[in-house]
Amino acid sequence: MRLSDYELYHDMLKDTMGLSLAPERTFLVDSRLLPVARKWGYNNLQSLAIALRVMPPEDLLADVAEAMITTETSFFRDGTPFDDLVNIALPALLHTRARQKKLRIWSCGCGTGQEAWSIAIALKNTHPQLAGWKIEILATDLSHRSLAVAADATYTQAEIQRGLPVKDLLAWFEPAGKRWRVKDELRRMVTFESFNLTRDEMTPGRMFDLVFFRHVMEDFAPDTRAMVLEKVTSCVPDDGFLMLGPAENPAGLYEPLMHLPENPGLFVIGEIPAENGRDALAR
Amino acid sequence: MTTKKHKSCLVVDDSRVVRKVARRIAEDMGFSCAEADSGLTATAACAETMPDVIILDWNMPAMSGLEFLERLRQMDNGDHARVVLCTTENDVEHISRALRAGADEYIMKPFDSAIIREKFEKIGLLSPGKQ
Repeated sequence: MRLSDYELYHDMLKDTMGLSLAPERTFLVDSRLLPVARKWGYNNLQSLAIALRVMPPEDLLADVAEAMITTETSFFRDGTPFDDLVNIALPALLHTRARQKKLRIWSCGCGTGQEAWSIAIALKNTHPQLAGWKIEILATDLSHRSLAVAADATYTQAEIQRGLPVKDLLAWFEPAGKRWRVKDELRRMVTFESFNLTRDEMTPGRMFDLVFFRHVMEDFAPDTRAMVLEKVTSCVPDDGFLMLGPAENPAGLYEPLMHLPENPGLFVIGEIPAENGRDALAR
Repeated sequence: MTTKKHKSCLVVDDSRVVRKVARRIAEDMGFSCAEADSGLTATAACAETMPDVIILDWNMPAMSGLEFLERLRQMDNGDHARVVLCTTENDVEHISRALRAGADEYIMKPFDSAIIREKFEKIGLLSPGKQ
């Protein structure tokens, strides 16, 4: 690829989506964008680059951006965050939300849905006292293609085996031909919506008790990370929780975030929950 | 100087190719591996040294993986080994039977290293994210 073409893709992804195309990831450009070029009738990436220079249609821009987004995902990815959900965040929220009996969770950057289903399964498996509560899990992503898969809630054998314990497979999925479909009981808990972190704004007042915002910041250009982190965090109340990926550190990006001791991926806003929340955390 | 003790893995499959692939995957994850080409050979191997984990094929001649699993759970220390049953059978009935017989996890063929790694994580043999 010519340097000028690389710069074009770099600038386009940054300007339209706030995404980062790090030099070490340039090898992805060929493998991921060639299918897009062919879909749009271009023989090679140079022709695609030329098309992108002259008022490209929105759908083409979306295809290019979707192709470059990291889509690696699995059920219960990284393990520990779901332990922290069950053992730290939920006990505290069960206490602080006991009157309202309402829980709102946001899976931001949900990809093909595995994280949202994992959250729903964790809630169902471990906290039967949530029966009678109103549970809303909002799952959003930039990629319409990923959202379509997520909302279909039907996964191949290979996908279903990535991280999903077999007991959960039997409990929460049903066969659909050679694939497996999420049971209705879980499907009713999750809503999927398109959300572009750099362009869209969350409805004012729409708050979430817990936000999973993992493996998303790494896709953004450095100067965009602080903006998206602040945008996400603004939807979390002071006694709510934010879950970041294991290698994602908000230091220097958004200072009010405090991580919980011994739970490096789990953050609260401002300070460790006081009084009731802290008591719940200590249990 | 201390020597780090590797966890042990027994790969049981009548296909030499599958044994080789599974063994390579488990060894890459730090397990010391042995192979058995039948349920009978596997029974003898477990009687001698009970492994930490067994990657077990369901469909084998003479003694099926399920029969071996039921026999294993009756052996002294037979509960020690975690068992990941591998098969092309992917219906609810087969999976339920495997769990009832004492399988800890279930892999539907074909599998790859990512799937085995995550199954091993789920049954506590590996820490999440360990390479």
